[in-house]
Amino acid sequence: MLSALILTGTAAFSYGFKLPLLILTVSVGLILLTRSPIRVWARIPLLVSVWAFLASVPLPFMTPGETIYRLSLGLTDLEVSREGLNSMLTFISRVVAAAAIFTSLAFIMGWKRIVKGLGDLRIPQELGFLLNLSIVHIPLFLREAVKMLSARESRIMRKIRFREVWGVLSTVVGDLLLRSYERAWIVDKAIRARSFASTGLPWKTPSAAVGIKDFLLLSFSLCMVAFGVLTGG
Amino acid sequence: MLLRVENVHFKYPGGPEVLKGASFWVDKGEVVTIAGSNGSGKTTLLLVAAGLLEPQKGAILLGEKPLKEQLPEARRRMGLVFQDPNDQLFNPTVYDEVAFALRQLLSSEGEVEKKVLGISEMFNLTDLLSRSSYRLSFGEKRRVTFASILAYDPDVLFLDEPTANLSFRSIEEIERVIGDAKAAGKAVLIASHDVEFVAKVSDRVYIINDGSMLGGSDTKSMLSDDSLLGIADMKPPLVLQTLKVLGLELKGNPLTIKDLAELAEVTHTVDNHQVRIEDEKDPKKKGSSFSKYLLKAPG
Repeated sequence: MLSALILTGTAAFSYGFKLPLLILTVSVGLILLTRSPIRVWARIPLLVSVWAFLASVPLPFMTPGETIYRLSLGLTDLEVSREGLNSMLTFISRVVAAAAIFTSLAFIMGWKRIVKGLGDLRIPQELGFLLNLSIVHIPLFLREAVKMLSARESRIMRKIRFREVWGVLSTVVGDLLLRSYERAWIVDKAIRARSFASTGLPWKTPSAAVGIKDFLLLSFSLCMVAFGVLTGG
Repeated sequence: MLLRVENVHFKYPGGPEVLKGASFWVDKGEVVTIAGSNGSGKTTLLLVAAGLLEPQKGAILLGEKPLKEQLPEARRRMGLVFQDPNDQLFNPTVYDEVAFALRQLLSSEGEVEKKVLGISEMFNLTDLLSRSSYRLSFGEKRRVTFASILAYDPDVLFLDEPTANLSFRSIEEIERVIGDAKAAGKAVLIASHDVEFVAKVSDRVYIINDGSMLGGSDTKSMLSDDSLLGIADMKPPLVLQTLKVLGLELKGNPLTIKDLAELAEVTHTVDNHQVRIEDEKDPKKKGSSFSKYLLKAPG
């Protein structure tokens, strides 16, 4: 968990291309090495890259510097600067590398070890517990949403237009909110029913065992930080 | 008296009154059922009795002392199994689920592990310990909920609709657990509208309807009272219904047929009264005795 945080931070705060590209390569390598489903994993960095691209589109036009292309839009001209393009590509590579390394390590660790790892890193117990509750309830929430949608779909007797489909779907949102509230209420009762202490959250998990692979990964992460510092990004 | 609930009134914020002066008691080594139709207030009564909801009026006494004064420590004496296991299971793995209460009570993880492995073996969960609860089948989830409660050995067990959505094999498993708990001197309080199940496991039954207790007595007299059950939108167990249809005495017969000996007991009563079963397809054919009919019946 510590290695994941260090590598994510290193990728996110790097300056150039070298480090993010190296971290991206390591992510792919880890996924291949552990035979994790690469196609499923690849969707996340790809999606992140699209968002990063959309978010950084203004950068080449608004960053002052050497003009490499002039885009004429009739009333006004837009200038693309070398520095802006560079900032844009650096930004995308940092974001994608950070997302790639964190998700690849999350794929390898599994969410149970992430929660356990956060506990071992002494983050507030409540945060770990809430993260665990959220993760546990996501599949239940999705199952309920699918059931509600199926129930509605089964009662649509004629062909409906795309716009009308959204009308049907929107009714699920209200029901899901209500069901989520009900579930939260009863889960609170279930937690309290097995909580015997008068103060504090009774949720504790034993520390995760640290093996040679964890040490190797941590050493590699620290090397990446050193490389970033020594090469200036 | 281990647990006594006296004249409790409860209303959810902004809602109607759900409990209107409900009272009952349960003692050690006793299985008591709160029976009633859907929406009669059974679950709310269980949550109130377990100290998870505070009644607006009335008293809950655990060991003759007000429960409120003993909370939250008194919760280790009470174990609540919720109707929907998905509401109860909130830990990352089955192991963590069973260990949740034990980690609060035992000092070392070694002791916790020993206890978890023991209880998991009892409930046939050993192979599932590293799995996430949400990946289990409904029956497996139900077993995990029981294991997570029985792991800390509470004095009072609260079971909310324990047989809902379960196969007959899982129901038999629950009947065994209840029998063991009773034999170990625990008080078991069940909320259920499964009359056949209630007839098998309960010593006493209270009938609740619209938040009020209609009455409470031994299982046989409660479940053979047609008028009382009718108000609560319930029917007597199948054996009683059959005997009534045949116009026979209910006395001396079991409420449900658990084994061959009880089956023989019921058929003996029917045969003694010379009840003949006519063949509807061929009215000319002579009727056969009830026991022969049962023996000929498929399965």
